[in-house]
Amino acid sequence: MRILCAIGIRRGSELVRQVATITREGDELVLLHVTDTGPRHDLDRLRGPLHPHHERHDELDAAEEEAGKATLKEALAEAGRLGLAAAERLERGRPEQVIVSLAGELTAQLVVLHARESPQAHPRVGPPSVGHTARFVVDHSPTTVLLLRESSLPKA
Amino acid sequence: MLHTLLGGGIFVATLVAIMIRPFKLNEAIAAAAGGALMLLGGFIRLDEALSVLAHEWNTFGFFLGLMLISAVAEEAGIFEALANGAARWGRGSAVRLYLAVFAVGATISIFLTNDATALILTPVVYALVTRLRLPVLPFMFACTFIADTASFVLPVSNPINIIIQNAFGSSLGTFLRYLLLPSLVAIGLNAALFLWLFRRSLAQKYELQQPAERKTRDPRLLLASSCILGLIAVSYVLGSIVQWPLSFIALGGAAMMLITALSLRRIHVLMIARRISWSIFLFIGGMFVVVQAVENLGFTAAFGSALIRLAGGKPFRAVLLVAGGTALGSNLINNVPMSLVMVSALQHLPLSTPAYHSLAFAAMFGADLGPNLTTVGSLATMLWLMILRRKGLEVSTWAYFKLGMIFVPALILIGSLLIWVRL
Repeated sequence: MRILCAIGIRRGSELVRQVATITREGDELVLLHVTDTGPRHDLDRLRGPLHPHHERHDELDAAEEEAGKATLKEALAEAGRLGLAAAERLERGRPEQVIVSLAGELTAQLVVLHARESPQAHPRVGPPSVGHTARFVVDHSPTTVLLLRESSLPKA
Repeated sequence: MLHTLLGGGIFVATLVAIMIRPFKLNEAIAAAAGGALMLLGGFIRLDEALSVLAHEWNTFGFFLGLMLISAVAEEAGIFEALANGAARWGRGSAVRLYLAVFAVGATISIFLTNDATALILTPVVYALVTRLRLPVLPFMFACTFIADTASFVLPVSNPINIIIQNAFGSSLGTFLRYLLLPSLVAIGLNAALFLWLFRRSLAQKYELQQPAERKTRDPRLLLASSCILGLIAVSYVLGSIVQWPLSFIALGGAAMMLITALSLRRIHVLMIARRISWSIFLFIGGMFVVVQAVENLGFTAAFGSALIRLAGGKPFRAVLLVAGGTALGSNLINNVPMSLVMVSALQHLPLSTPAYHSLAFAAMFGADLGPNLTTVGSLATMLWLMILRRKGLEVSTWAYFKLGMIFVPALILIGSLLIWVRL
């Protein structure tokens, strides 16, 4: 079974450990991190026409890529430690749309993601406990979705 | 009568064009067109317009010097150095880093103006927190808010202060007597409120990595620019004490920074010229002409009289009206035209010097802090977009928005009270 694991910026290893509890031999993980382009768009909006744009796009791109790669590296290392076959994908765009589109493109049989990137900032249950990315994926995914709440597993 | 109506119509049309920017029209073009129409309509004579612009040489010089200093400082890597210093001071705690970002933002706003914090520090902090894999939004809020909250500590903290001070003149002592306490209260409240708002998102640790330096970075330029900036900061304070034109200091400091950077062959003149917002001169110049024209028509004097009537002879109500009205007007249009209108209105009032000072500083306070509501406005748009993206389920985001809307009016009230106490 091909499992698309959509990981946020900080909790990739935790997600891989949770997925490991349900995988069987021969399963293949695709570890996906999507750099959200929304905040950059918002940042650009802060500048008005009276202020020229600065040439910082390359630096910001580099920072985002560095963070994404670090996230994937941690998750990949965790998968290796648990003996899981895994590949990594680093993409840019609106996370919810990229996840849904890639799930179809890769013909994944399962999509796994956390209900929220920062669960500590939100109620543990109820509608706000599921973020917009997870909600969109549940609504639009072409395949089965496994939504993970805050882990009860011990830290590695 | 028709002449007066036509002049008023041009004024309103200029403000509306600045406010709604039809066809993505640049504000500078709108202001310049307004000024040109006022000239063509005979609402202001050409020699009078030129005289008004010449009288504002200190404002134009200060703007130019300031933008040059910011451009060289940015190229020298001072903003990155400060942000990386904040990350080191944070020692892995997102809360400590958040406080450090507030401190850096406030320092930059105080000595390099609010625009330097909002426009240059914000993307630097964005890159830093992205690398540290921390939530970006609280830090963007911090930079954009502190830029305005810390912009009335010194006359140089906001170009608006120079525009208003140019009109009525005051010593640094008077400035500080009226605005230091409101500034400190505003900065403290801003930091405390945001820390509380984002306490859960900031309950994280980070690992400090080696910051990625840009290839062009030169430690000699960084050191030299930092020393010159320190000198400029001290000169600003001394210059304000002896009431030198601050444009001399800004332009002198900019020249020193430019010569240093050019001698080290780290910058090109064209590169710096591209970073200057030349359209801002057109915008301010156009607005000076438009406001002088409506002053000639007697509109601003009538506005000032109406304000005083509304205050009903009560000094605190007058201070609150001027501060709140300027803040609100700054959000509706822009704080440059709003300040000019307010200055023109206040100049015609028969007031004692202390009363005049308190109202002028109230206008400055409202014009400086007001854009925080615009920031709230623009962030509110961001938040609205997020809310729409999240299909109305982002309860906590909505809560931030509501609290932001309470923060600025509450601060206007507290600040007005503190200014009134100084009367």
